[in-house]
Amino acid sequence: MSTNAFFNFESVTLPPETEALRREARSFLKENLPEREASERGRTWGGFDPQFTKKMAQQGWIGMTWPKRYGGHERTALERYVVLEEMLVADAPVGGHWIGDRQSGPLLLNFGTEEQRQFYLPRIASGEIYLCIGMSEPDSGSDLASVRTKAEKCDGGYRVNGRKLWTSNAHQSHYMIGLFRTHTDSENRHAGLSQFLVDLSLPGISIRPIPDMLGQSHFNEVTFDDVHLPEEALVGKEGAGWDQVNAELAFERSGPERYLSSYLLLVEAIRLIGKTPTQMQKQAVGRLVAHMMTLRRMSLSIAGMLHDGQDPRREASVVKDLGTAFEQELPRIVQSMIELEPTLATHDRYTELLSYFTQISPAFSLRGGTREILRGMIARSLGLR
Amino acid sequence: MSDLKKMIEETTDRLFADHVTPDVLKAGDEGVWQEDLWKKVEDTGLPRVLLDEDNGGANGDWQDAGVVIERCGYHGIPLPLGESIAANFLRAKSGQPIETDPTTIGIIRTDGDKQFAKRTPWARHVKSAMMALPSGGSITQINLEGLTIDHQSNMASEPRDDIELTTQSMESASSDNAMSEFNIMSIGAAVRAGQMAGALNRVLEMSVTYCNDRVQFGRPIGRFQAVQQQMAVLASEVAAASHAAQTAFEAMSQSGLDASADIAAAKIRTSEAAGKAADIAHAVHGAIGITQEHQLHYFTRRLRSWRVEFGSENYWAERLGQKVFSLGPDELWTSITENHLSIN
Repeated sequence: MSTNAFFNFESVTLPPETEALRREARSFLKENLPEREASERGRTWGGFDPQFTKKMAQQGWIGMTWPKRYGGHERTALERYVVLEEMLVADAPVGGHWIGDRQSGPLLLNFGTEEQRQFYLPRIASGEIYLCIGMSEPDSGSDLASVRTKAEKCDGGYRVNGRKLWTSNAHQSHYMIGLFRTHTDSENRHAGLSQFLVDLSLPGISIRPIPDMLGQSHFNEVTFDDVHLPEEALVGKEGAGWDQVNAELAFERSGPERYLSSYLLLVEAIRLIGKTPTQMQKQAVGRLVAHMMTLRRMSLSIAGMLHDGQDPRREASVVKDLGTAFEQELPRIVQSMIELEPTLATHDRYTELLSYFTQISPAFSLRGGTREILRGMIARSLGLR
Repeated sequence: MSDLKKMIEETTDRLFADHVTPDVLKAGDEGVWQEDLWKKVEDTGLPRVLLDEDNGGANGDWQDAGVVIERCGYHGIPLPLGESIAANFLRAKSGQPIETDPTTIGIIRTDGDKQFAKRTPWARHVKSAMMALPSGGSITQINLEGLTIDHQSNMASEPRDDIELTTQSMESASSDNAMSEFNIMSIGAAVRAGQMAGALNRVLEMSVTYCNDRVQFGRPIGRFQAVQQQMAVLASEVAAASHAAQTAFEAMSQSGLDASADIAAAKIRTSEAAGKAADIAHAVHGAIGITQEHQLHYFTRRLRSWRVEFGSENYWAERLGQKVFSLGPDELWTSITENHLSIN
């Protein structure tokens, strides 16, 4: 049935060769997954572990779909999808390479110069360098076109002044792909934005971590004080930043990480309830699993579109909106199934996870584009504006 | 999409678009049997889409049948076409002769010293039905002629009749013990999930049209963010429900009624979407949507009825949940990545 007039969710059958890869990923995880605290596991793709990233690189699981000449492995988008979902459900600490693999690498493949590709892509794929994304600013959140951090032309390059905020993992990254204003056009606010590769060790850059409400460090404020960037730091065309960023956000929003964030809690709840669930517990778990099965098929469909070189932007906003709603309601439903208080640091795995996800889940529909922005995009896909 | 599927979709859509007119919907709603329309449907062979050519069929698979069933929901056709496709599939499976008359499916249960098939879809208009026998777990062809049929209906005025069975009608039955009441629930749930997917898409399209046409405060209501946010929720629910139904039909093409986890997921997801979508569509349409002057009600009333027929989302969630608990926490992901899990 392809009768939906607005969205194109073709179903995807994973080719047989992905089954061997899935088994490989599972046995890799069995051997290499470090023991961690519950809340650390809960961070899933936010978890940071340089050693684990190195091991992933050795398996050829970073930059899987990129050309071999750039250190990639020329595997398909569907093979990459299988590895990703196996890492996510195991809560593997993939945060080091996640951004580079998911969006910065593809951005450079699309818009980067040959020199940029040759320098950065092999280093990302080998797990040597980590990247972060500098989009949001103190006065620029959902309204991304309002960014004010300036990159002004100067002798031999650009001079950058301003501030980026909520930059995830800047304190652990080597490079940032920053969206800066290179030109001010009072008629067209989407014009005059440009993307740059910024070496975070340059003079004039200071990085201040901002602990989140649970005490974890991932957010940062990154200040640029007369930072000099060479001309070759520009990514793509000067002034084309808005379109480039939108293409990049399609990658940011389209993956299975947008519905699997709190999956671990479901698994632990099933473990705790054991073999004699009540009718209500069966109904609650059955419903969650039905949603999960459907979200996975939709997510796979998007991987199929990437595989076929189609633009999955519309469909990705649907899956992200449904997926984040699912991963947010999961802690609430699990709480209603089991009468236990959430706890902090009592070394009880389930109640600690419950506490972590109960508190952090509002973030799921903020990161990567807020729910309201995504729903606005979905409405536009319907022809409403 | 396969050529056959494409051809079936085009044929079905053209036939229904031409003939399921507002007058037909209204007459169906008033309980008038659409004999002419059934003849046209029968001429196309759609009730036998799943049968092989020897049985006058199209040699289609469940994905092809899914297209027909989905279109039934989209157009709100007031005929037991989904039920006939299901019953003919069960007939062919148990080697019983195929008929060109409309037919249906049902479940017989014992009540005291009597046996009833309650809420059987369209029973008053069919001569025979494929039914699960009580406690024996087999599916049998039952001749309905001469039986006492109490006319009941669902919220959409579709016949859902109570039949009292006689010893004679049960005796004449030959049975296939391999199948069970659960199979009737499964096949019925798959049909309703497909119909809901179609009706959901119709309700979405009607709501988008209304958002563009209706002007308040000097502009189409679809320009208001408050309306857009609701429409986005509606569209996402419809997309998820359609995909869940599509997945179930694909799984059934491989594994037939053993694809019960995918059928369960489809029924759960479409049922849940049905409630949310009907509420949003009515909110967007305002007063006109709850009148008989607008067609919206034909689809929202069907959605709300189909939501609970052949097992509500709770019925199926309980069974899927039971399976998940029996597999245990560490098998959940494996069972999701393995296709076509069976829950019976």
